[in-house]
Amino acid sequence: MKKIILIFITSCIVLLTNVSSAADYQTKIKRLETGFASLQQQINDLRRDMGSDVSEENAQRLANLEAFAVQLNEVLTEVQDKIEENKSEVSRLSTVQQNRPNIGAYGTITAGKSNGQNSIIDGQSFELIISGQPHKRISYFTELEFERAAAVGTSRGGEVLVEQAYTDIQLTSWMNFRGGILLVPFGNIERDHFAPIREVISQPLTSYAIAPAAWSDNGFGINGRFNLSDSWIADYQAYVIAGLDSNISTTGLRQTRQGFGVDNNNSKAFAGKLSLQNTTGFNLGLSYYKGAYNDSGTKDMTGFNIDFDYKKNWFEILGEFTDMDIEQETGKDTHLDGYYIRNLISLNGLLPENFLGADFPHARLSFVTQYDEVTIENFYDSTLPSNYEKRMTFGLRLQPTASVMLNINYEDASATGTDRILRGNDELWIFSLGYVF
Amino acid sequence: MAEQPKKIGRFPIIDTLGVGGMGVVYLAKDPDIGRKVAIKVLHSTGEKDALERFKNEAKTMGEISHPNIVILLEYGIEDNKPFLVMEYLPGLCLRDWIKQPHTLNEHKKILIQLCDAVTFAHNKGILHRDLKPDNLQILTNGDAKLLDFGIATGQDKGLTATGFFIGTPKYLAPEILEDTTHTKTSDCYSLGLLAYTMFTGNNPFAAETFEASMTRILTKIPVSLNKINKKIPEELSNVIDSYLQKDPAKRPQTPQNLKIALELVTKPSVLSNKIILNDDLKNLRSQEKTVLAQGFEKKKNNWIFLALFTTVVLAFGLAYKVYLDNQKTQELKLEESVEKQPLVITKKPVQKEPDAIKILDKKEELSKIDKNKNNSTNNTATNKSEIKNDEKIGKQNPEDQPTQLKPLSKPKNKPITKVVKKPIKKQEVIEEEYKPPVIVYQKPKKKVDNKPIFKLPNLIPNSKKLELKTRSDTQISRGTTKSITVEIPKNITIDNFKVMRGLSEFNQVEIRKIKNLQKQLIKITLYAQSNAPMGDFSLVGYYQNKKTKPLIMEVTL
Repeated sequence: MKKIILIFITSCIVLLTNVSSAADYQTKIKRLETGFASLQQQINDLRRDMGSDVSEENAQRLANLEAFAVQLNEVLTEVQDKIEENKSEVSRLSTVQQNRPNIGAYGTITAGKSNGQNSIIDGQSFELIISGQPHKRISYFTELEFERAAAVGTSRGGEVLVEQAYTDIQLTSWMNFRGGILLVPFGNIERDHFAPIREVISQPLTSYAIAPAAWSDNGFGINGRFNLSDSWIADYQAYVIAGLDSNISTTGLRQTRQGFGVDNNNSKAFAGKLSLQNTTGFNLGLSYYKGAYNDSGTKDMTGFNIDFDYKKNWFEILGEFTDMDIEQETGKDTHLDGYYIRNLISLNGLLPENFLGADFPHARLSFVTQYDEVTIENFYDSTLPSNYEKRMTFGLRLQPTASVMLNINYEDASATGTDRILRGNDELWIFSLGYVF
Repeated sequence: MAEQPKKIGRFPIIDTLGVGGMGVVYLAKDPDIGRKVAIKVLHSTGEKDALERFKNEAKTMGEISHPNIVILLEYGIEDNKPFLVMEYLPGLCLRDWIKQPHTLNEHKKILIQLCDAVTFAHNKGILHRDLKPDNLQILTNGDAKLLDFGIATGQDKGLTATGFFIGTPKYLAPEILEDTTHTKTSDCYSLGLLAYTMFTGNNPFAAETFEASMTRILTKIPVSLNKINKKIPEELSNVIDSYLQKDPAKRPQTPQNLKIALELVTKPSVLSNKIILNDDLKNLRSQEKTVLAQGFEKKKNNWIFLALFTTVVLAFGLAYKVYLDNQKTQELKLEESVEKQPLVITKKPVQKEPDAIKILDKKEELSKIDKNKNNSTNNTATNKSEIKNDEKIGKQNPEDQPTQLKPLSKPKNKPITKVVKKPIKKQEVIEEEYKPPVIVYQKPKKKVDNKPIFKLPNLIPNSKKLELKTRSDTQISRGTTKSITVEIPKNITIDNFKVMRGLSEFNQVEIRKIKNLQKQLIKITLYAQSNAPMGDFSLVGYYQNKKTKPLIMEVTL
């Protein structure tokens, strides 16, 4: 009899202690519950089998076992209750946390010196990002730009602008509805819109003069992605927007971005982009824009952009080609085109593991080169030569952490034509500190 | 408590009727037809389960139309808070109703109506799952209305996929506490318990804490209703008791047994009896039995067996006492050398004698009896009890002694469990006729400890979760693909990775590819959708049904 009890007790304890190996606490509890039910059943069976043929000692041991079972039950109940309590609290906190707006910021400060000009230290921009997902299928994103904005409207004034403010409503796993102030999906905006993320300090000429990287507009549409295969994803965006207006200059389309809530014509523009991404590190993007620009809405501006990015180990190459075609009343279209190729060579091996007494395990150092050029035909007088500018950029980019970027660039720009697009003929040393938090 | 709103939907609010676990109930007025209505509004819509239960209640109540079940009039949403508009039922809830004495007839009426309501719901495939005094409203005309199908659901569906029960623990059936499967019989248990509570004024399982209440539900058998209140007919009491069986299989499967038992109570004199509530909880609880002792129940009820058993034990006790005394005396008197003689100790597996029974050789025994006799006459011992015992033995012996003896020969098919050779002292009366040995109870040598002999094992020790490490930074830009190299702990194989945000899976960052680089290195390619919310998410590895510690990552610009 003693043996039976001992074996039984040992097996119970083994059962209960082994429970802890289960990862999921619910499984643990379930096992404990089962273990307890079994314990209870076996005690009852033992009682029944023993009948009254039991010594005082064994009766006492059995009573102890019962007391132990009751104790176990109390602990089990307590644990269940505590888990339930914790579970609801964790769930609540998790929900609260998920619903809470996420506030981020990014910005850059630059210091540059070009030929024949004073050196400039420029706290170029500070941008506030407020985003969130109050519901599994609803998210929002807002980007507030404070560009050199010390005090609006004074000589120290700059620009305060809502660059993006949209809401996404997920309709299906592959389609979201987006409405609000949108970043127009034209060109390599993911790479070039956010200044600190861009590997060179100055914007490429294409996204400065033809399709501004900070081109945002009011509109709505759809976006989403398809899994083409295990390795390929197709990401798309298609929006109806107010579009660019006729404020075209001889140096580009920068001034054609309209104010929010206004439209110079009754015609709406379409902007869309299809990106193909491969998990090996190759991306290809195709963008398209079409919209009437004149006040009567009869003449269209049509744009096409192709961008790419390929990364392999220590080497990365990316670039884009942009073409914009502007219909003229005369019947002869005005063309604007340009491209850039950027190259990054990783020099991570040169970085010390420890710097200034601190570890920077994910620090990155890259040697960057970029060649870009843009040609802008004179929209107003086609007999005049096109404005043309090309630029070569060399730089080093150090990221002590993923959030902080230190860049030093040397730019050598040369230009022809009647008007200077960005730099003209110039050389420039420029340093920047960027951050994304 | 939240401020009382002026209006909910189109209904102007008059008053607050109550605040419950799930919501607040307001008294309002239908502006179109002027009738009063009760509006139940959820406390908060944040919790999915609560919202789900609320909707469930609306759907469930919409399916039911019965005179003893509250009628749902409308369902709506106000300030993101869903609300139910129900008929207003002036009266008392059962919890308050039972505080006053009522006749058995009044109890009968309410319980029959409750049986009808529960049967009706069960026939529709709906379980109430939370039958308790708060959920039964007694109208001013004495009719009963069943409320709050808040956690009611079809039998196979369950909102408790997490494995936890929902409901009021004091009225939950024991099987719900062990396993969350709620069946019709679980409702029947709650119904029986409601009836018990109505007749006694107390829930027999009520305790100060949640845990204590649960322990009582699982372990205690309430005192029979009829023993508490003699005015309750025994047949009815027995039926109600049968609903409180811990084992659902032994319980009536429908409320009909209770209804029939109630209907059979027709004696006007009995019906007009006012049920006097019993507040003597302490006394009641002292009479309770525990489930763990149930194995003994049937045998304990057999008083003949008990009487026999007690007699035998007492007899053995006395015989043992005599034996001890004899031994002491023999040691003093005998001077002869020791001779070893075999003694046999047998133990029968299932017999009505205690363990550790010693069967002595008759020769030895007879000599002991003689010695004992001498001792009892010569001994002018100061211990009166010893004298008394000896006298009792003396009365039975020596003529009665053979009836207590058992044969030395081995019983067929009954194993001898132990054979001990014990030295005994040589006796003079060894030529006596052989007689079976006497059975003597031997007191256990071990000291009995009343404290539990086991220590509780560490039920859920702190498990050390394994950690994932990454050799790259853990930020991923929206709309981009990123590969990270993850170092996994030695000697484990990760079966799967999941991307989580809080407690939920995070679909907006996808795992596109997993590639084993080396033994402990895995390359994971992640893709963040362009609308992925910024902020932290975590990557968790699963191995052998366990999870690693989450590797915190961040969606950034």
